[in-house]
Amino acid sequence: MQLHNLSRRRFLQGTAAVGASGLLIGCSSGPELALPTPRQEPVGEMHEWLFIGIDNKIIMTNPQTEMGQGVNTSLPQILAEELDADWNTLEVRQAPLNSKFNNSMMMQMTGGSTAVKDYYHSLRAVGAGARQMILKAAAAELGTSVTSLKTENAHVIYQGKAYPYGQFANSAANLPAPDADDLVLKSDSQFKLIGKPVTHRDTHARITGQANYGIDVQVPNMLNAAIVHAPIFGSKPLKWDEQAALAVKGVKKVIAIDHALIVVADKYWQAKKAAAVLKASFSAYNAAMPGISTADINQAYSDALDEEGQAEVKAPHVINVEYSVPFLAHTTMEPMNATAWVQADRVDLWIPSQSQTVSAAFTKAITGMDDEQIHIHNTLMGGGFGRRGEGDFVAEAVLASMAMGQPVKITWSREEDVQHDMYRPMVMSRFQVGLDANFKPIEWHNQFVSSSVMRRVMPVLLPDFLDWLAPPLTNIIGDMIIGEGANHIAYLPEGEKPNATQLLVDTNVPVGAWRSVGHSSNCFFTESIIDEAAHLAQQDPYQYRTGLMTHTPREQAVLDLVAKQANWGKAPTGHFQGIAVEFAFMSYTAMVVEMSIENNAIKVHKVTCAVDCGKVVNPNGAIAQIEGGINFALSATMQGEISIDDGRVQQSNFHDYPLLRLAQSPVIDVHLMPSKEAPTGLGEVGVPPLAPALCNALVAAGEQRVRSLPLSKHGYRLA
Amino acid sequence: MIILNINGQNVAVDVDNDTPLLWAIREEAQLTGTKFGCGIGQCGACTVLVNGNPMRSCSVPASALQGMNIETIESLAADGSLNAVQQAWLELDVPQCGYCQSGQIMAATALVRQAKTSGKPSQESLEQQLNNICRCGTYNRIRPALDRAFDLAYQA
Repeated sequence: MQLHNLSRRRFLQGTAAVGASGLLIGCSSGPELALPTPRQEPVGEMHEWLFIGIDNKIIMTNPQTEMGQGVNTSLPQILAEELDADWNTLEVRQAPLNSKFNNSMMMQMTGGSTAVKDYYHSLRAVGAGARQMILKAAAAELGTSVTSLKTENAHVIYQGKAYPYGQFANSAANLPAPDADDLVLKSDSQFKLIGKPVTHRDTHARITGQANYGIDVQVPNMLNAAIVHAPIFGSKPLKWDEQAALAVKGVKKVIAIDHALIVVADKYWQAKKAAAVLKASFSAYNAAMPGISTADINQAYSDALDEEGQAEVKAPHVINVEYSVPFLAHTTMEPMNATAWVQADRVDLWIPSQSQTVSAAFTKAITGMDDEQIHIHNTLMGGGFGRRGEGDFVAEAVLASMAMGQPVKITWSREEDVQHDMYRPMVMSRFQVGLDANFKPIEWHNQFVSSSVMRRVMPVLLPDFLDWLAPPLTNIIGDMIIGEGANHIAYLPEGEKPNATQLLVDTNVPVGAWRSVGHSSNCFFTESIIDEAAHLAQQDPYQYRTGLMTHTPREQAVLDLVAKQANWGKAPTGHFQGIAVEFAFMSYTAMVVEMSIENNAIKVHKVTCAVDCGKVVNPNGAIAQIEGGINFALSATMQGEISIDDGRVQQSNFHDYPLLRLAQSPVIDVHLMPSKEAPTGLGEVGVPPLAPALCNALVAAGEQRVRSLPLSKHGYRLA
Repeated sequence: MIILNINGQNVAVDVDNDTPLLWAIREEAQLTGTKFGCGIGQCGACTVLVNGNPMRSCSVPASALQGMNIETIESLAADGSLNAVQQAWLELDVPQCGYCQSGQIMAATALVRQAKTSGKPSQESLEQQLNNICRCGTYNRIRPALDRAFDLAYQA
C-alpha cells in the first residue's frame, strides 16, 4: 500500500505507558514522524491519535475540527473501520495545539476540503496498526497464533469467547509498532463503516440542546464582553463615554484596543447594553488607501484591467465579455466569539476555531508565550465556511483577558459579524475567447482583478522578519486562493491551457476564504461563458459541453450522469434547466438547476448534482455537504452582496443581508459517483456550479444573460 | 427580580426590565440550548415556546413574560425520550452544525402540536411558517423531517 505523506520505514510509534494505563499510538500526517511521549494518563491533552485503555475505553484524537461538515463522524469511521472498534463507545476528542497534527497545508487548519483526503490513509494505518499490536499481544497471552484470532467491536474473538482489547493494551504497548510494509489493511469488500451511511455522532446532542459551542463556554470566574469595532476599516477609536457604560449594572471596564472597544461586564446582556451607550467616535477613513466605496473599487478594478489590456484574438468567432461578483460575508449561524484566560505562565483558549495554528500565532504575537504554554480547547462550531480560520476574534479575547486578569468571553453581535468579516473578494474578470469555425473554443484569454487574500493572510503565518515578503511575492506568483479554477478549462483542445492573467488591487476591505474560495467566482465565469458559446453555436448546452470533454473523462462522466438524472431536456412545461460542471478540490461536480420564472420571481424547483470525489467515507454526510453547499450558493447567487460606502460595510444583519429560507429552497437530488480512486475534496464543491447553472437556466427561460451577481441587482427575486 | 416559569419550574432571575428573554434563559437560567443568532427576530435560532406559541426570545423582554409557560429545547426530551420532531430530525439526520436546530425544532414542535386542534396545514403553509434560517442549508432534510414528525405524532 501507499502511505500518504509518511515515511515507509517507521510510521507508527507505539509506546509503553508507565504503569497500567493502556496503548497509545499515533503517527503524523506531516513529513516528520510523530513520537508520542509515554504518559500515564490519556486525560488532558493527548498528542496521540488513539488510546486504548485497560478498561477498553477507546479514545481518538480528531486532527480536524467539527463545524457541521461531519468530520467528527467521517474521520472516526476510517479509524474505527481498521481497528474494529465499537462505534457506539468510541470517544472522539478534538486535537490540541500541536504541529504533529499539521495537515497538507503544513498547519492545523480545518479547511480547503482536505479532511478525508488528507487523513484517509493515515487513519487507516493507525487503526490497522493498533489492531495488529493488540492481536499479537492477545496471541501471546492466549497461547495461540494471530491467525486463529478475529476481532469485532473492540474485542478479540478466540474459540467463541470475546476478550476486550483493553485486556491486552498494556502488553501491546510493549511491542514494536509494525512497519508500513507489514500492515494488513482491509479490502473494500470487508468494510463495515467506510462507505456506509452513518448518522452524525453529534446529532443527538444537537437536537436536544446539549451540544456545546464556543458561545456556550462557561469558565469559573469568567466575565462576558461585547465588542464595538471601528466601523470604517482601518480607523481607530478616538472618544467614548466610559462613564455612561460603567453606569450600566454589571459593567466592569471599557477596554480600548487598536481597532475596537471591548465592554466587559458580568453578563453579556449588560455588556451589550453598555456598548449601546458608548457614543464612540472613531478616526476618519484613511484617504491614502483606495477603495472607499464599491463604486471606487469597481473603478480601480476597471482601470487595472484597462491598463493590462486585452488579448488580440484572430479566431473566426470571439466572445468578448466582462463578468463580476461582489463581496460576500460568511455569516456563520453562531456569531464570532472566543473565551480566553491569560495567566502569568499559560494561556487557555476555548474557541470555535478552524485553526489551532492561526489562533496560536495571534496569541503568541500578543503574549510572547510559546506553543507549550498555549492550551487550545476547541469547541463545536456553529458553522465555519472559512471565517473561523481567522484569528481576529481570538486575539481580541486574549487582549481582553490580559486587561482584566480573568477569563473573558467576547461575543459579537450579528451587526459586528456582518460588518467585520473577511469577505469573499469582489472580482472582475474580462474574457476574450476564440472559437473556431465550428464554434469550438480554441483560445481562452482572461484578465481578472481582485484584492488579495494571500497578501493579508501570509504575514500572520510568516515569521516577523519575513512580513514584508507578502506583497512582492503575491505580485510575482499571484494569489492562488483567488485564482483557483481560472487555469482549468476542460473545453479547450487537449493540451491547450487558458491564458489567465491575475491582477491584484489593494483595497481597505479585508478579504478571506469563503466556502469554495476562488472557485466561487471562477466557476461562475467559466460556466457562463461556455454557455454563451453553446448558444452562439446554437447547440444544446449539455451536448455542446460533453462533446468538448472527451479528454477529461471523469469530468465528462459527472456531466453525463447529472444530465441523465435530471432528465435534461425534458423539463415540465414552464420549467427551464441550466447546467454547469466544475473541477475543484480535486473532485468533479456537475449540476442541473430546474427553475421557473414569473414577474421576475424565480422559483428553483429542483437541483440535481453528480459528484465524483473518489471513495466516499460517509455517503450520508457527503450528500448533506452537497445539499448545504447548494443552498449556501443559492442565497449568494440570488441576494448576496456586501457593499461598501464611506469606507464601511452598508449591510448589518439578516434583514439587509438575507439568507435562504425553507419555502425558497429547492428539492435537491445528489448522486455520488461510485469510485475506487482515493478520496478528494467534498465540503465546498456543492457551492460553485449553482450560480452559473441558475443563470444559464435564466437564459433558457428567455431572459438576458446575467454577467454580474447577485441576481437581485437585476430585478430578480426568489419566489 | 422577576419570576419566570421555564420548563415547568419557577426561576427567579435578577435582570433589568429590558433584558431579552433569550439572555435571561441563557445567562440566568443557565439553559444554553437556546441560541443567539441575530438579536432582531430575523433568524429564529432563539425560538422558544410561550404558552405553546413559538416566540423569538431575543426580541421580547423577560419581564413581560412572568406567569407564562416558557418551554425551551431542554424540556422536549427531559424524560430521555425524543419528541416526534426530534425523532424525525434524528431519522433524517437533519443537523449539520446544529446551531439553528434548537430554534427549528421548537418552531416545528409548535406546528405539530397545533395540528391536533386545527389539522395539518398545507405543505406551502408549513414551509412559510417554519421560516427560521439555517445557514448550513439543511432544508432538503427539514422538509421531509417535518412531514415525518406529523406522521410520528399522529400515526396512532
